[in-house]
Amino acid sequence: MKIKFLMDNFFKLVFRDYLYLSMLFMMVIFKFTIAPILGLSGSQNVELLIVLTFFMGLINGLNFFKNNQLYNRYVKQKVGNYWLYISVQTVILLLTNILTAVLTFINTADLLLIILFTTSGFVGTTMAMLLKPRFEKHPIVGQISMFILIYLSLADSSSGVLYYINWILPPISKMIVTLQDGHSIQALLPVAGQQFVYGIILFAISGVFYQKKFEK
Amino acid sequence: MELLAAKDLSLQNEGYFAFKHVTFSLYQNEIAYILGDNGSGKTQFLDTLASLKSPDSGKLEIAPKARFGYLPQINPEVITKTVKKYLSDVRSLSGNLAVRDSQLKELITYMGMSPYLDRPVRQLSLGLKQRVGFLAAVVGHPNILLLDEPFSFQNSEMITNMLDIIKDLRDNHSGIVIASTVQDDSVVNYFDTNYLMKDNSLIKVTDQNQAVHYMLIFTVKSNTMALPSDISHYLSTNVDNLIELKVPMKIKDSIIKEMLELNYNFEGARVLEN
Repeated sequence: MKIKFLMDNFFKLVFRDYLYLSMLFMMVIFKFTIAPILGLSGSQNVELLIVLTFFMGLINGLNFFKNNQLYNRYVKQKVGNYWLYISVQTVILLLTNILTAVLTFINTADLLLIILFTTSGFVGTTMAMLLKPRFEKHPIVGQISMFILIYLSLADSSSGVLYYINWILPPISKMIVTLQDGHSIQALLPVAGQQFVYGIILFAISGVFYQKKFEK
Repeated sequence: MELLAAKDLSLQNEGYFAFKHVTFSLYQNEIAYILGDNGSGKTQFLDTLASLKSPDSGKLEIAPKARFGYLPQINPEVITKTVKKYLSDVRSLSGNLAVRDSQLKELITYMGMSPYLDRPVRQLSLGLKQRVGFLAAVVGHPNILLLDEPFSFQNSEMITNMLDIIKDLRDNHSGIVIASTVQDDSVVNYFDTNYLMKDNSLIKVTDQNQAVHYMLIFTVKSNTMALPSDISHYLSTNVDNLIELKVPMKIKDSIIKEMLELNYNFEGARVLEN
């Protein structure tokens, strides 16, 4: 019952201020109108959409956690189960990323692309989860941290200093670099797996790190 | 049995103390009443007891497996469900430990919510939302019930009904904490322990009548008579047409009555932090 109660609440929270829906519409319209006009190749088109999906997951996540702080202050007390609360949040946000990916590729119904885009959005969402308390109490620290994380997500980590630490960097640029190296879309599947595991690790870190805020 | 124990608890908000060095205990079969002026830290204290805020220092001990019910002063949640569905869902969160379905119906009727069962909660007035919040807090049959300003926007009949439900919970081994800005003389007898929150500290009141003072505010009319000496003794402010009297709680009602007989306009009363 608690799961049903939370899912209902969080779904409404995602759609509360129409930001997610607006971004979703923009994404779909971009995919079907502007992208063909730009004359991008197939892989360039996918690369651009991966970055957009990542940003969409991030912005949707930040907005969701802001609304959660505003409206659900006492809901967590009613439920009284921290891990259930944040796990259901994560599942709902993952579902919104799936919805984004499905609607973006609704014409092709390409399962592989849907997986790739879902995990890219999921990394953005879990980054927002990691930073949520920073934005609540220390907005400047939150914004600087966000700037650094976005930089590390998008910067080329295939060479230079970042190469040595690329295993801890959000694997967004890695997917693009892999595609640019001439690999097929199928070759991105392991990177998608890495993105999903990365997202789960960020979820676990934020879960453990912020547990004290929920219960003593 | 002790349900809650706060030891030397302090909480700061951006450099300001919400409360400091607070010691507080709540037992089964006890109703604790915390009286305090606006901004005295009652809400922050209740949030801390409900583990919604982490204290900066001190220790909070909660009985194992204690279940909380909490009526916040303002619930920002936008509830689109109907009253019936919302209360039913909240009841289900506590599983078998919650009140039975038939008891929920009785509670709804007792709190005058039957005509509103099919209305979305967000469309209700503040007073009705407060009643829904109160019912949501009690339907889980909590061991610890925290009520922040539960009587606001309610008429005397509803306040009495709320107190009956609170008393019933108390008699069924729950502990209840009520925080309020005002204290109605008619409800004092319901409480087992009284506290006063002032200067960010919580003081246990042994003699309620002596400890609490009220500031009574009156304005002068054209036919107002002069203050008699027994009342002028309590005069605190006399500026233009405004009269303020600082009186002990036990004589508050008699002074108001006497002032009305002297044709003063009664503008209101507020609790003083002594």
